[in-house]
Amino acid sequence: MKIIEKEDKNYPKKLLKIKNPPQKIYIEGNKNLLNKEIIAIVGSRMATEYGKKCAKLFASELSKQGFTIISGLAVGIDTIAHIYSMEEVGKTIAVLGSGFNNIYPEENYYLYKKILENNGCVITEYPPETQKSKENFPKRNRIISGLSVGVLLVEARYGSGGAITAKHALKQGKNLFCIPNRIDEKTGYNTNLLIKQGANLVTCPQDIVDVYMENIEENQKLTQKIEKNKEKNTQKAEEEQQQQNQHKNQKLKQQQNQQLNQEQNTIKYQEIYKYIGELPISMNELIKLTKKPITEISEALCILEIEGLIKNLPGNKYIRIMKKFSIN
Amino acid sequence: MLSTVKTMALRGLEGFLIDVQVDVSAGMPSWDIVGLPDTSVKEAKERIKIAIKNSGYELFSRKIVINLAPANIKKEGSIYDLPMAIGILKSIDIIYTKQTQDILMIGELSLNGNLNPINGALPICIEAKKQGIKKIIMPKQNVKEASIIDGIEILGAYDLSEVVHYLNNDIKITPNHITWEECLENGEKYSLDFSEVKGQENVKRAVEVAAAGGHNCLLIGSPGSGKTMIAKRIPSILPDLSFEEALEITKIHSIAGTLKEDVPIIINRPFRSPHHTISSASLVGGGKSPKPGEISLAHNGVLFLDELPEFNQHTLEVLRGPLEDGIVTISRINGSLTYPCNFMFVASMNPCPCGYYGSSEKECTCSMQEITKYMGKISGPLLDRIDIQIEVTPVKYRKLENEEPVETSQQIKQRVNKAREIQRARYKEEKIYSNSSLTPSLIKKYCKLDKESKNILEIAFNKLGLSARAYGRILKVARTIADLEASEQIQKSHIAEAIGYRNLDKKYWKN
Repeated sequence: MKIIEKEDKNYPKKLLKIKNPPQKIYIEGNKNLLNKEIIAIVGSRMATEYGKKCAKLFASELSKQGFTIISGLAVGIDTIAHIYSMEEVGKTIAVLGSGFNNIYPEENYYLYKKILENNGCVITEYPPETQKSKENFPKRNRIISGLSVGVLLVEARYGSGGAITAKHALKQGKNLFCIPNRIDEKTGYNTNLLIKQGANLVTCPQDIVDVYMENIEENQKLTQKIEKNKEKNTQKAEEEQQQQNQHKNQKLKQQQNQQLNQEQNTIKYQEIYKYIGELPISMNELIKLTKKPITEISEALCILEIEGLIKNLPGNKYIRIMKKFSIN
Repeated sequence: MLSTVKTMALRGLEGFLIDVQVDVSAGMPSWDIVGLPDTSVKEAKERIKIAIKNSGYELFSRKIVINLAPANIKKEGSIYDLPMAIGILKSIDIIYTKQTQDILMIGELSLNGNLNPINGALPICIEAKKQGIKKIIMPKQNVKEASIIDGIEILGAYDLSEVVHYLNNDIKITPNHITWEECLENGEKYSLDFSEVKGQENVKRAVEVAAAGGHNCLLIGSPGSGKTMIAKRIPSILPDLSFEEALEITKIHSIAGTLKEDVPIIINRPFRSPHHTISSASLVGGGKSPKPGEISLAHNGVLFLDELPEFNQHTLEVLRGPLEDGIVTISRINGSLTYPCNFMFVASMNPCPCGYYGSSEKECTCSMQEITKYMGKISGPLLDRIDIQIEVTPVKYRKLENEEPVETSQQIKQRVNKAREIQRARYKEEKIYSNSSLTPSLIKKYCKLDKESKNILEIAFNKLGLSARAYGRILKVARTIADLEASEQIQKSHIAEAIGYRNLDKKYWKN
């Protein structure tokens, strides 16, 4: 763990610009990430399937495009944002609302470890022994928005934590992106409200990428230059890269195999699969639509679920999930 | 003069022959009952005295001593009224034949001399037959339940004087006997039927599988989704009762006193659904001299616990042993008794405290923690014994109106019967009757998987996060599904369907 004080020259400059920057920040992991192009992905703890799907899409796509993703290690959207930004190495930052010795929520302790393993970064303004408390969580939201260049709000109820982060973002003059939601969903009330008030409506990751295109390119050029210099100096690096490439190839092959398998199953169960869409559908409705015996349907649903093509929701309903971002 | 009459004491389902020895002699008028009588037996004095008087016989003031031998067995209840009265009447020579010694008598007297019905007539008859008794006199109201036993003369009497006249050979009482077939013909059929359940195809299928393999099952759903309606109809698809099974059930119900007068023998599988305020003693059985509890009353039938998390946790934990063993042994100060309790366990619950988690009609207002806490009320070991978990979703009005033909219980039952026959034949040498009682070693022997199914199971475990304890259950249920299709080998589709019945495992109980 490292401690950076406000007077330190390593203190992230972006944080100095906000209204009440923390006196000290406690950092674990890769502290270089704090100065990268950071996008915050925040949202409801009780996210709907739609929200989770969007968070997945944006987290994995934006991290691929070179952004670093920051979020609050809470359950729901935050967790998804962390998990899918970790598809790339060293692209995720978590901001805690408690000390390092009291990770909250407890079930995300594992995720916290994984972020560090993944060369990510976890920061907090609280000393390690600080317990969780109601006041601290809204406060840490100002850090989340402060460190980022833009905030993506996925799903937020009225007056929720996500809404607070959005408020901070506006005060700090950051870009606010909102994903539109159905008007009868409570979880999407605040995002829709913000869009109405003038926030940027985004429908795909590219919308965000376009805004920051230039910055990212410059950044990447810089890093490429540095890397080139390094490569010239050391041959070892090349060998390592070759090994990495081999690993990647193997992984790719495995993925291809899986995809093949998936495709075969999809064809076999196509008749049933085609009825399962973006809106949850119950097993009994499927029986009625397909007019197939129940045994066949339950078999198909199980196999499709195992393959990660559909998901079983509470209430015995099924929903199609995007193939590319199949289950964790 | 001394006289002896035979009667019987019951301890649990076990019967002991009792000699009622009566001595009536001249001397200071007094009345003593010895031989470990309970208060309820001692109270008989007044009843007998007045019943004899009101039956038209004179009982002069004498010294009466009654001994209930053997004196080391505790006697309780009102069944000794009749034998004691007959003993006295014999001692004072109102009954003058000697044949009383071969006849077993049970019955309670009322003050006007009438015989009142008693509990446990059927087990007494069965035990009496075992001990070589040929004739048994009992209250008329109990005759119906007892007359199913052949090889023993069941004589029903209306009042005390009828018994006296019979013993003095003044009148004849014709012995009653009915056969099992007659019972089946006259008996009331189970009145609920699955054809009344519209929609819910997936739940019906799950229940069919559960019935075919004797698996315990848990129904989860929001209020009004039809959990109770479905559970109540499960007995209608369970295989028909055999005579021996019916006798076992009737015996227990006879002891508990839950038999109806017009129903001689129980021909339908019992369905017991105690309220969730039940105590553990009334669930498994108890009392000073233990009486059968709900689980024994559900023997060979269904025990349905509605709103499972509302039950006292301690109460639920006592189910663990009986669920596994099929018998329950209750130890009390008066000795320990064993009752059978081989039942199918069906439970229902809401998915969360407010009841609407996952419902499409109403929004759930519970936090994730509340839901986890609610689910946590049911312990792992108990869940361990539940093979099938199924979610029930409410049926839409449109579907209720629908006039499409729905399968009747009889149709489902035929499939269930077939599957059970296959199982019975397969486990002939293993001393088990259904897939639900397979032990881990037997699972290995009878639930072999081909490569493809193994593969599916493995992927499912890794991807869906199923717990290790789910493994055996999936195999058992898959075996039953294969039996329903009369398939020798468990196939991929069977495994896949069985995994579907464990879905809640990963969703609600993250173990």
